[in-house]
Amino acid sequence: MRIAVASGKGGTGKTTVSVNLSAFTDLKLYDFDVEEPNAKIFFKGEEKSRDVYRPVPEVTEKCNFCGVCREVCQYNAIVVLRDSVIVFPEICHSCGACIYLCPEKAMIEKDKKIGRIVEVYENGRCVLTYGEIDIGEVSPVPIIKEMKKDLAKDAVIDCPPGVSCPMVESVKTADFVLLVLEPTPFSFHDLKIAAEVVKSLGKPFGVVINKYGLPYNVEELCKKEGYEVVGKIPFSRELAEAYSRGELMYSVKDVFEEIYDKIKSI
Amino acid sequence: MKVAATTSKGGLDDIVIDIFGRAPCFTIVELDGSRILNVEVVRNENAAASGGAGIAAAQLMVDKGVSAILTGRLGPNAYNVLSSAGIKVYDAAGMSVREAIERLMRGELDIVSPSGGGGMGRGMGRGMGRGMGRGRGMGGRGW
Repeated sequence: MRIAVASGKGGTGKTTVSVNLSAFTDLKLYDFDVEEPNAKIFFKGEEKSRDVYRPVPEVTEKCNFCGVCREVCQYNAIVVLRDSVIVFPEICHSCGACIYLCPEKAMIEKDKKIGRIVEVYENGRCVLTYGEIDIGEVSPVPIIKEMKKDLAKDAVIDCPPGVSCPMVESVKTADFVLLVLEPTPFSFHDLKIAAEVVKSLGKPFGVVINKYGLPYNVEELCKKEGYEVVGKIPFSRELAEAYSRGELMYSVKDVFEEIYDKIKSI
Repeated sequence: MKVAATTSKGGLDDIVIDIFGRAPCFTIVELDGSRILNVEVVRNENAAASGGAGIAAAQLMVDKGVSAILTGRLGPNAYNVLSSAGIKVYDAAGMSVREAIERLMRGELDIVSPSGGGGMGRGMGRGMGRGMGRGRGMGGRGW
């Protein structure tokens, strides 16, 4: 079972839910939020890292400056001057059109490092795999795709916030999506958008209410929308303090176990 | 020579605006000495591009055979392309196109340096050096 943890809005508790869900079940933890991978803060293990690359075009001597490459580039990543070509690798999306369509076969692919994938080991066991994108890179998607290649069968995926390509790429691989909601109008507003995305991807999903007990009644709103609430993490000072110290939520371990049991039964 | 100004509607009486890559249109003035031969207004198709608008606008300037640009600010990528192509960029924001051209002719306009950091272009081509992209201009213009 692969469970993706998403939310739409940032800061609602995706990482909290992911880390604890993984800790109290047999699910392996993956942090796909490669722009801001912070699940690692919960761990102190040894890191093993490998680099991730993507292909970008490079111009060779065969170029006659005809300009086809820059015409086919949908991202304005190539400029052709009278006697030179300038490629902007940071803007290039690695679609390959320029290389494929060059009449002179003057463009070649060259690997550009875009980030890395890190495994964190505690007592010889991999407790977390996270991706990390290099500064200035256009898209986290190639790193997420690379991480998906080695994804365990039983996994919990901490997804990026938002509902655009990185989130979609992360959610696509899951059997079930957990949407983390905090009791605010902002969180609920964005969760509805995330729910639409998840529905259109044909994925079953459920809602976890974080900081449950705060006055804004999102449980009622979920009911109205037909969203199933599969778990509630209580609003408590004790949990907030544990979190701020980078500790797991042992006192509500059963909440996470129940979430997993519920998902398995859906 | 051809001079291009970043404008919102276009024409000699329009005001030069201080954005380059996402300017709505370019007023391209053809000059013989200081005599105006022709005025062409070119819509900026890439004004709303999700990325690389400055690069595309710079390519347009190269394609149009422009040798000087009247604007206010431009990013490092656009600057990179324009300087590789030998196109000079002048600060004329807030002036009418006509006034900016007169002042350009009198040598009264300042050269613009790129705003913002980052943006490395990698150039290749015949004759090393010309195509080399240099990500100049760190720091921007402050607060």
